[in-house]
Parts: sequence; structure tokens; C-alpha cells
Amino acid sequence: MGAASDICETATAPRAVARRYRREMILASLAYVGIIFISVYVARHFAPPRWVAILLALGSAAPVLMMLRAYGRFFGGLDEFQRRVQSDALVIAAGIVGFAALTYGFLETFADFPVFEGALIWVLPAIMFVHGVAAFFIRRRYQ
Amino acid sequence: MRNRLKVLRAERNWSQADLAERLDVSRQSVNAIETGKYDPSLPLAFKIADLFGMPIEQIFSADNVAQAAE
Repeated sequence: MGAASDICETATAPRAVARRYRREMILASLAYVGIIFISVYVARHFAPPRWVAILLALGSAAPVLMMLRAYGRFFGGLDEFQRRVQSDALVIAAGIVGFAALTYGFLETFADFPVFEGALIWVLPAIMFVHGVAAFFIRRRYQ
Repeated sequence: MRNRLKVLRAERNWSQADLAERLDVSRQSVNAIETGKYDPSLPLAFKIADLFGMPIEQIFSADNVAQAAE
């Protein structure tokens, strides 16, 4: 799903679909890096008012929508078997990351485990990463 | 589910890639179907049957039906 798992994702996809996915992901990633850089710079150096801070936060998330759209188009271009692999991988990734987040939330609440500020930022990247790993192993299972 | 895809393909001297191209799917999909690890959808099964010019039940059979025939 994400750029980190790009090689696993596009290895078996139709060439045109894989090419479009890579192009859209690179564009989205460049936009992400650029907007994050600007947002962090403004937040640290100008102490912006709250409404500007909200805009910076939403702006930082916008390129992720581009990534999700790219993945949606990639998914739509796959054949039924490849979609099956992707779907299975997404279910596994959502289950593992969701369960890990829930469990750590309980540990924070009941056992005073450290609270990581901004930890929610890592939920989607974690799903992307686990999805890439899961898709790799699922594909091997079908070989 | 069992199938005779590998035999039918071999009879025509088609590679997995050839068959995949004719069915407009990936080679990995053909491989997964041939090895019985993935059961195709009904539309794809009909497409396969059309390609080989055979009824669907001459290509695909349920495991228990295939065992009974043996």
C-alpha cells in the first residue's frame, strides 16, 4: 500500500497499473515530504494561531489521501486473484495493528505504560508496512 | 476444487503466461488456479470454459466428485 512496500505490491501487477501506481505514489510522497517540511517549519518558528495549526495538520494529511486514492486505483486494476491477496493482507494488517494499538491503549490506561504523544500518526504507516509484509507471505502461500 | 487446466494448457502447448494473456489475468493467477490453491470466480471459470470450448464441469469439479470418479 505504501511506498515502503512498493516492490512487493507491484511485482505481480499488470505493467501499466504498476507504473501508474508508482508514479502516483511518488508524487504523493513528494507532496507529503514537502508539506510536512513546511508545516513543521511554520509550527516551530512562528507559533501560529490555532486555526492555522489546524490547517497545517489537515494539509499534512492531504497527501495521504492521494496515496489512498493511488492504492484504490491500483487495487481496481488487479485481477481477482491479486485482489484476493491484497484483501487478505489488508485484513491481517488491520487486525494486527488494531489489536496492538488496543492492547497498548489498555496498558497505558491500567498499567501506566508510557504515553507516546502523536502515536496515532503511526497507525496508517504501520498498517501499510504490515500489509506489505503480509501480502508477500500470502503470495508465497499461493505459489 | 479440482481442475484440468494444466492438462488442457499443455495440450495446446501454451505456457502459463500465454494462458494468462488469453484470460487477461496474471501468470500468478493461472498458477494458483492450476495448483488448486485458488478457486476462480464463476465469471472467470466461464471465461476459461469458453476459451477451451468445453462445458465448465469438464474442466472444474468439486473435490468429493473427483474422488468419487476415481
